[in-house]
Amino acid sequence: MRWRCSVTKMADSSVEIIEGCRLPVLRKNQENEDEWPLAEILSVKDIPGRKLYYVHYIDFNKRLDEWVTPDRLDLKKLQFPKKEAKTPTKNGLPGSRPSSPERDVRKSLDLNVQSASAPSRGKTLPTPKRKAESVSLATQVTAATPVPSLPSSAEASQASVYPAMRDTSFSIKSREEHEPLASLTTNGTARRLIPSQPGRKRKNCGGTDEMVKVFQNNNPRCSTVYLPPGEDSQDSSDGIPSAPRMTGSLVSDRSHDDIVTRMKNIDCIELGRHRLKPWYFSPYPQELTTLPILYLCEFCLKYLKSLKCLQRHLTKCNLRHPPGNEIYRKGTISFFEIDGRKNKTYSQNLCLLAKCFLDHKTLYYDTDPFLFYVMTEYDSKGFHIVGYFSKEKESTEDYNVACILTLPPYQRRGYGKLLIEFSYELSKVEGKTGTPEKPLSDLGLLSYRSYWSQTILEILMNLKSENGERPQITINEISEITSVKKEDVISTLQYLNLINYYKGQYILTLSEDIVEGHERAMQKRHLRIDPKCLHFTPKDWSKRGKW
Amino acid sequence: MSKLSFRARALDASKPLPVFRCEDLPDLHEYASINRAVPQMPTGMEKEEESEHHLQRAISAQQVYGEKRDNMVIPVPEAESNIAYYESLYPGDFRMPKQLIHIQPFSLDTEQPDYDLDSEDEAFVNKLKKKMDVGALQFEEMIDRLEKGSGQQMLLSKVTCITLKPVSLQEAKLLLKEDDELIKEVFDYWSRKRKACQSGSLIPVVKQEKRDGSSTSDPYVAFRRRTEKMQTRKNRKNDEASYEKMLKLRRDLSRAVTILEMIKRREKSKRELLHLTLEIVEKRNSMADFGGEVMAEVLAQRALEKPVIPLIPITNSNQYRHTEHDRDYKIKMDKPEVVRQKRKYEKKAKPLPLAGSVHSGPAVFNTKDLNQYDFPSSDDEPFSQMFSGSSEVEEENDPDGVFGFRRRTGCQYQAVRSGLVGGWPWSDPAEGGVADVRYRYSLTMLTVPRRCLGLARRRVGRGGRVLLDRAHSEWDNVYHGLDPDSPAFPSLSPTQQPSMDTSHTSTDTSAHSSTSPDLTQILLNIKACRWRHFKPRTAPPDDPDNPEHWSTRRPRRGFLIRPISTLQKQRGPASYTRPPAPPPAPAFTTEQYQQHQEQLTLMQKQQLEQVQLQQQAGSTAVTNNPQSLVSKTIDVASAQFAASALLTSDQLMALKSKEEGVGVNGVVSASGVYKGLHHTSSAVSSILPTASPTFTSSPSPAVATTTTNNGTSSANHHVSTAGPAPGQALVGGAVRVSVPSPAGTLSVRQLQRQLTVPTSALKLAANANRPIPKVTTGSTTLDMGPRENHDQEKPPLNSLTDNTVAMEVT
Repeated sequence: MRWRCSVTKMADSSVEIIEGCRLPVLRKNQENEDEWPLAEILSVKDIPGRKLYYVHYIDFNKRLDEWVTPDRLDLKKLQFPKKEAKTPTKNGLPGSRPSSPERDVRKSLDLNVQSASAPSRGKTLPTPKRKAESVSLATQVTAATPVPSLPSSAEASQASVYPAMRDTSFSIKSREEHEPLASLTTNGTARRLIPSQPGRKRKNCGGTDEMVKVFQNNNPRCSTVYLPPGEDSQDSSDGIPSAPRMTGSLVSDRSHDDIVTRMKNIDCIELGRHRLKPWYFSPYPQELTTLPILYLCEFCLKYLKSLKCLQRHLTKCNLRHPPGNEIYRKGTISFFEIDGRKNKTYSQNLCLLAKCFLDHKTLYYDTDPFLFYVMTEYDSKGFHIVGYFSKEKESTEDYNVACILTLPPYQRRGYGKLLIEFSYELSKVEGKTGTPEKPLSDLGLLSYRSYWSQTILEILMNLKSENGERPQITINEISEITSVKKEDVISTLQYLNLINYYKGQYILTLSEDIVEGHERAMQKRHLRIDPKCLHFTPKDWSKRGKW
Repeated sequence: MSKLSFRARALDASKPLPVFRCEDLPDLHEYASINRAVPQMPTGMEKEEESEHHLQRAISAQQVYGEKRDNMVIPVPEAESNIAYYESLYPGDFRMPKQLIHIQPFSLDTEQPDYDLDSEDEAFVNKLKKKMDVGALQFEEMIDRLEKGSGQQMLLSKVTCITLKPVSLQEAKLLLKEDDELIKEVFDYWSRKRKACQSGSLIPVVKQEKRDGSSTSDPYVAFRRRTEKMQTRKNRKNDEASYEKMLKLRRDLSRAVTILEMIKRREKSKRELLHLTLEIVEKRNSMADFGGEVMAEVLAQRALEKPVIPLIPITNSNQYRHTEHDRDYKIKMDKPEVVRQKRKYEKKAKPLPLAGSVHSGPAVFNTKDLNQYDFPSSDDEPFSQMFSGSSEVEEENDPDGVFGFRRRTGCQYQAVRSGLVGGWPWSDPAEGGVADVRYRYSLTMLTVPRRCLGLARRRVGRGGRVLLDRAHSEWDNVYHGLDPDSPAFPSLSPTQQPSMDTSHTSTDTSAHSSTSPDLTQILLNIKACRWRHFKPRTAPPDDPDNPEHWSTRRPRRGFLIRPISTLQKQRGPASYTRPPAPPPAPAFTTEQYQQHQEQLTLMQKQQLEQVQLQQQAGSTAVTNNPQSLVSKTIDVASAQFAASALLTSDQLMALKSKEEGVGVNGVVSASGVYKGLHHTSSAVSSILPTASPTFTSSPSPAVATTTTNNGTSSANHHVSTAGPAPGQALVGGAVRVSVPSPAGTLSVRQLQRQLTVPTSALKLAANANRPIPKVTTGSTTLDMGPRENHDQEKPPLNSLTDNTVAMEVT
């Protein structure tokens, strides 16, 4: 991990606020009240007359990051990024695993490499004054220092509210997790111990990923051979720019994202009658990122730089629905199945759009191994995309959903649950249980939990007691009926707090609150999938050559 | 919340969980104190995001209120849905189709240009419009081509090309099919605009990966191809496989085309036939030939003169179908044509290795092959069913197995000769045959259903197949009842047999040399040899270097020896009866011996009668008759002879086997012995004036005669002389076999042996020679009962004589 202190010194002394600084920033909350949550400056840009700061609110989701004017900054509480006394360990990894002497040697080597490359880096590093417009890719990339950092110390006061998930598989950073809890308020010292890249979330590296990285770190060739100095922004110690895994659609290992991907690059997307504010970075062609509005064709999702172009395009594009086969229709709701290999252009366009709203989605690889199920709502203009989910043609991990998204204009209206329900209906046809690919987003977790809860409660409450005995059911039975993977059933039962140990055995208890809440929720849930309207035959993709 | 007094245990997913309502369990809270925790499942979220403020707020709100409060939802950036011009932008005339929408493949490939005109372009086009005729779409198309042409340039100039090389004006002229002036205008405009645009391309595209791998971490590069180093091999394999599939597809398609063409021709012919028939009927009608007299007349006329018209395809094809059905057991000729043709293809590949011989050129498209497909369409085909029935039956029998007849392209197949067929070696001289003794009826045994067939003769059928003609005899049940595994059936275990014989002789030698020969033993041998029979076998490929080959060859010799009494069979009608075989007797007593002698005399009488009968009947076989007569009468004598012969040969064998025992490798040296033996034996028989065939020849008809001194007896040649020819050498006048390969030393040893053997053998020859003159003076063959013994004993004897001759010569 590199600290930007060198940058600080080099920067114009008049500029006090630089990347990495933390300070309270004014924002309006949902009740339209003023809040001053702590935020981190990710980027600074000069537009004529004033400066703009890209801020990330600590412990708020990235989607709320925004450009703010200086008047919203509380400069009195400005915290500068601290120089690390002790050079932080790479990726924060060694903290969670016993380090062997060998590794220590490697580490020190890494450090040498880092310090060696630091000066040049300092020169190429753009000053805070650089204008975003003029930033070429190269400099941006250079600026990007995707050093996976330790988790931003959790100022989250509610961290203690929820049950800590200290499962061993998540223990990689458990040390850091625990410490912030202890040192919540002692800002300075705590942060010195647990350094944090500005706005940077510590990535949850799976065990294997970690292993790979450690291996690479230990590979002496990495820093010397594969890294032309100043060319690549990857940490010099990261070595070979390793490609992410080829399966799945989400990145859990974020060693590849950098400052560029942590900032929204599109201001606004116009899609049909909607204007969407993207939440995250999306790799649309770079020349389009400077536009105030990016226009998309509502049906083929082609990106266009101007309204004029869109108009021209619409004279040529005769699509009025997603270019796939309609496999479900009930009322105005339809589902279209698109093969990521057969319809690359549409699939890519859809992915680019979806990336604007899915933080962990990766567009690293092509769309070939995926099927896209696009949910549309019909009106006289055509079949309008509402949301979609993608699905691996062959999943090795029982995933029945890769990415899932309800477009923002349609959110909070039951469409997400409809998408989820549809994904499980497909699994039922396939005769499999399935689970969404991880990691889930916050909204994803809430939606899935809600769907699982309602689905399971529906079953539990409709259980009829046979011959006077207490109705009973196994987890497996629930899983088979719903196609929800066993683990998800258990986690839902846990979350609903239904599992109790009573007189020597585990039982499920339905409290009045739960029952009432469920009934209320079900009354509101009017959008349902009708399995009879589904015309879907699963294909055995393993028998086809390559997807 | 942590009241766990027990270790958290995973929930058993297959264990039924009773479902209670909380109100039914008032005492639940009491148990809560000893609650057993179930391990928390991970949420599946990124750790640090899990702790995000709004999520936590939402979760706790939900847990508190059971539902999300509006103000507790996770805030997201706003979206607005009030685009004023939306209605005008998109046409609102889309009617929902009744059916579910199904995309036709390739229907999405519109030829529309990817480039979309912007306002700047519009101004330019409008300006241009004043000068020349150009539309927006046309302009877009031109720009599109220029852009995509540049893209290709980039690809051509390989990886290093970061700055895209735009097309030149010349290239533009090639790309665009407009008039030059317009091209010039548009090209200039495009070049200017392209220069001004930093991104390089006027059609915005998602950044693609660079092939040098430097774009691995470029966040703007997306949708990389999933090629991994690991996968290259797999991919290549895929490519190979798909290439092969393509080839196959092409072949199949071209075949389909051929078939269709042929069908077309067939149907045309059928139409022609129909027209002709119609014409005939009309003509007959006009002639009032209702009774068909004229027709018959004409047909008769036509039959007389050689039909000028070539056979109508239909009859032609019928004919071939006949043969096809008769011969080709493998093919089930029923069902629609398509199936048949498919089968045909499968079949073609198969016989290739077998029939490696004559290919009359690769590209010869045989008319017969064509005709095979030239069936009338299946619906009006009465034959197909008729024949399919029979072919099915035949298929079940499948008598020929791998040797089944298969039609081959490039071969001309003649119709069956209707005239007298004769001249076969096995057919009776009355039928113009040679009545070769090799093809006499003899006791035959099958290997596969391990049983004795009874009397059968072997002949060579079409294509070199070996056919067995079976003859009925009164003793058939006895033959069939013969137990191949009984000890009286030594030849049954072919591999065992020769070694058994040698061991016999070698073990016996000690006893024999000291004491008088055990008669019982000898007789047992004789008896055993009387059971010699023919056993058809598939000929192994002749490979002299293959040791296995040697071992398989050796036993074959045993099979080929035919019982003495079948000698007559060759001439006699199939009804010839043979005396019953003596019952197998493992232990020979003197009583049995006497019985046997009685039987033998009885047999002799019968045979004599038979012979006399035949002499009266069969006129041609003068020369052979005395032979057989003698051979019958000689029986007892032959036994004696055999006994004496055994003695000498046993000793000889002992000598040899001792020598051979130290041979380089067991099999080879051993076979060397036998080969030598047989070689000489055949040589002997050639020396003998009335060279009666002592062996039925090997199954493989093409026995090359390598021994030049054999003269007349080439027919008698034993396999062993023929097959491994390269390794054999003739030493002097004696036919000696030097073992093929390992052999420098070995052959030397054999030579030495040859030198040593004669001297010792010469003495032995004193007794041994006696019977021989006797036999020869009798001017008969050495066709006596103990054929096997004869085969094995005689050779050394004869080799002795040969050697003596040789020694005299040198």
